[in-house]
Amino acid sequence: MSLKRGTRIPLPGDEIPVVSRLASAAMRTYGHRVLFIPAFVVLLATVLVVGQRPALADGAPTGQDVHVAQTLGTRELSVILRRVDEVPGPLRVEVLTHAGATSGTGPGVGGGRLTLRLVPTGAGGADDGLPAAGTVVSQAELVLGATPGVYGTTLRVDRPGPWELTVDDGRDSGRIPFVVPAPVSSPPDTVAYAGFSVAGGLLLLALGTAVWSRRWWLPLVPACGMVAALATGVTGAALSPLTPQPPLPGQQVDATVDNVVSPYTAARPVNADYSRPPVNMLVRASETTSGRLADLDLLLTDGSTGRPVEDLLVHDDALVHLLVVSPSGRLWHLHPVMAGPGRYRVGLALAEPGHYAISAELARRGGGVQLVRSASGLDVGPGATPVAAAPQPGGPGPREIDGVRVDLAVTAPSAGAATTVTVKVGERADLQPWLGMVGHLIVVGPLPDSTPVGAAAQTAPVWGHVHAMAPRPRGAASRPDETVAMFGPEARFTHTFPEPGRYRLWAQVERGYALVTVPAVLDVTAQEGDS
Amino acid sequence: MRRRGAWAAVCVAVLAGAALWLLWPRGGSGPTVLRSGTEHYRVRLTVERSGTGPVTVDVADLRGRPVTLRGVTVEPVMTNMGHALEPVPAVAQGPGRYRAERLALPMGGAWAFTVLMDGPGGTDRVTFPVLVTG
Repeated sequence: MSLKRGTRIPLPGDEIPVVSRLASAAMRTYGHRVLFIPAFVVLLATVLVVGQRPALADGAPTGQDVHVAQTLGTRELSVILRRVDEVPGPLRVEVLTHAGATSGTGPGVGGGRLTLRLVPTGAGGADDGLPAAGTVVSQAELVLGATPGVYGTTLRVDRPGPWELTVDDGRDSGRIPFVVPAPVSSPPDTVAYAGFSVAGGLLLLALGTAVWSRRWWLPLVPACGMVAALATGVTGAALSPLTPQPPLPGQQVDATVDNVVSPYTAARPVNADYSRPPVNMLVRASETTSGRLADLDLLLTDGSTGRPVEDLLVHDDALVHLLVVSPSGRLWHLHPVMAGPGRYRVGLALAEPGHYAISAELARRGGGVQLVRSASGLDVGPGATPVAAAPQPGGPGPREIDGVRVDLAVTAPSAGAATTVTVKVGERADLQPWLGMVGHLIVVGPLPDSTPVGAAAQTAPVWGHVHAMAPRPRGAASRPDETVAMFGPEARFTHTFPEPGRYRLWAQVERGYALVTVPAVLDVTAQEGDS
Repeated sequence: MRRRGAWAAVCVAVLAGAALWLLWPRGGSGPTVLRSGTEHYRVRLTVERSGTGPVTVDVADLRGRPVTLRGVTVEPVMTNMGHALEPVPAVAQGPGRYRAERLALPMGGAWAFTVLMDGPGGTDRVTFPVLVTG
C-alpha cells in the first residue's frame, strides 16, 4: 500500500476511521467470509493487469540492428543503429571508421567530427503533442579518433514510426531512413491472453463461491463464465498462427506512425504485390578533369512516373552499392549517401582521363534488388597532372597486395558451369565481415583485349556481384559485425559465367579495418561441345 | 426465484455488453486526417475516405500559427502501379488552409499524396501515404 503525500499514518490511540468501523461491524455479522469479496477483486485485477503484460514482453524482439555503409565524401563509414527496445528511449548509434580512404584522399580522412541528427519523418493521425515531423528531435556530436574503430553516441527517439538519421561531417551529409518499431500483438493473441486471464480469475471465483456460498447454483455462474472465457482463449490461440501478417511498414509499404503502431487495424492494400517500377539513374560529376576530386551526383527516378525515388531499402548494408570501373581497370565499390529525395552523392578522385563505367545495385520498397547500369558512364578529360594507369593484373596465382600475400585459385573456368574462385588473404583467419560478408567478388566481362577497361566495361554484357557469406553460429541472434576479425583467410566465391571470354575480377575483403581489393583477369573457356 | 432471475439478467447483460464491445465498428467513415511536417511547416492533410472528395491542407509554422504561402499543390501518385495523376493546385480557403477540389482517383489502394508548399524559403515537400478504400 502506498501513502499519498500528506497522509497521516494512524497511531495507536487515534480515533478509528469510519471505514474500519464499518468493516469490523461487517466482520461481526458475517464472519471472515466478508473478506473474500475484496480479496477476490484485488486478485482478479492483478491477474487481468499482469495477464495482459506478456503480450508485450514475450514476443520476438521487435527490432534489429541496422547496418548502413556510407561513403561520406571520400571516406567509408559503417553506421550501426542499435535496436530500440523502448519508446521513448535511447537509440545507440555507432560509427565504424576504416583505415585510409577508399575513393580518394581528402582532408580529415583519419579523424574528424560528425554531427548526428534525428528527425521523425512519419505522418500520423493522432495529435500527440510531440514535435512535428520534419524537425530535429535529437542531436549529438561524435568525435572520430585517428585510429580506425568504433565510435558511438546515444540519441533519443520519442515515438515509433519512420525516422531519418543525418550524418553530417560539415561538408557532406547523408540521410539514413529507418523505422522505430512498436510492440505489437495480433488480435487473436490479445483475445487469447484476455480469455485465459479472465478464465483464471473466474476459476478462483467459482472455487471461492463453492466453498463459501450457501446457494448451490451460485458457483455455476462463474464456472459457466470460465468455460466461455476458456473457449474464447483457445479459439484465439488456435487462430493466432493462421492470422495473415500485415505488410511490413518500411519494407513492403510506406511507413506511417499509424501502420507501425497498429499494423493490424490499419487498412491494408487489397493487392499483395508490393513491387514497384524499376529505376532510372542519371549520373553527373562536379568535375570532369582528371586528377581532381569530384562529387558524383546520382539522380534516381521512377521508371514510370519519373518522380524521385524516395523508397530505397537498406540491402546488403547499404542504400546504394555503386561500382565504378576506371579507364585502366581500377574498381571502386562505394555507398553514396542520400542527399535529398532521389539524390545520392559520393566523392571520387578521378585520377585518370578516359571513360568510367558505372553501375548501381539497389532495392526499392516492396522488394527486388535491381542492377542499374549508367547508360552514359562518365567521360573525364586529361588534367594537368596525369596519373599512371593501373597495371594489367595477372590471372590466378600468388601475388602481393599492400604487403600481404594473396593467393587466387580458380577451378576450371568454363562458361555455363559453376566456377569457384578462392581468394586467400594472408595466413591467419583475421578477415572482418564487410557489408555482412566475408568477401565480395565483382565480375565484369567478357571484355575485348584492345579496348581500355572502362570503355569495355561500359558495354560488357555481364556485371556480377558475388558474395562469400560469413558463417553464423547456430542459434546466434545477430550476425557478427565488422569488429569480429576471425574469418578467412580464404573467401570462396562460386559464379556461373554465361559466356566464354576474358573477364575482369575484383575480390574485396576487409582486414585490419582496411579494404583489400584484389584485381585479376580470368579467361573463361567455352564448355565442351559448344562450337 | 426473483433473485435467480436477476442473476440471469445480470449475466446476459454482461455477455451482451462484451459482445457489443467486441463487435462495435471502429474507425467510422469520417475523413482521414494525417499530420506530418517539414523543416519549416507543420502540415495537416484531410482526405475524404472515398478518395473522390476534396483534400484539405492546413499549413502552420513550427509554433502552430497559420502560414500564407504562394501556392500549394497536391500530387497524387500510386507508386506500386507506376501511376501519377495530374497535380491539383489547392486554393486558399482561409489562413493556412488550402483545398484541392476534384481529386478524382480512378481506383482505391495505396496512394501517396505529395504536397508541395511554395513559400518564402523555397518549396517544401511532404508525402502522405494514404490508403484509399473503395
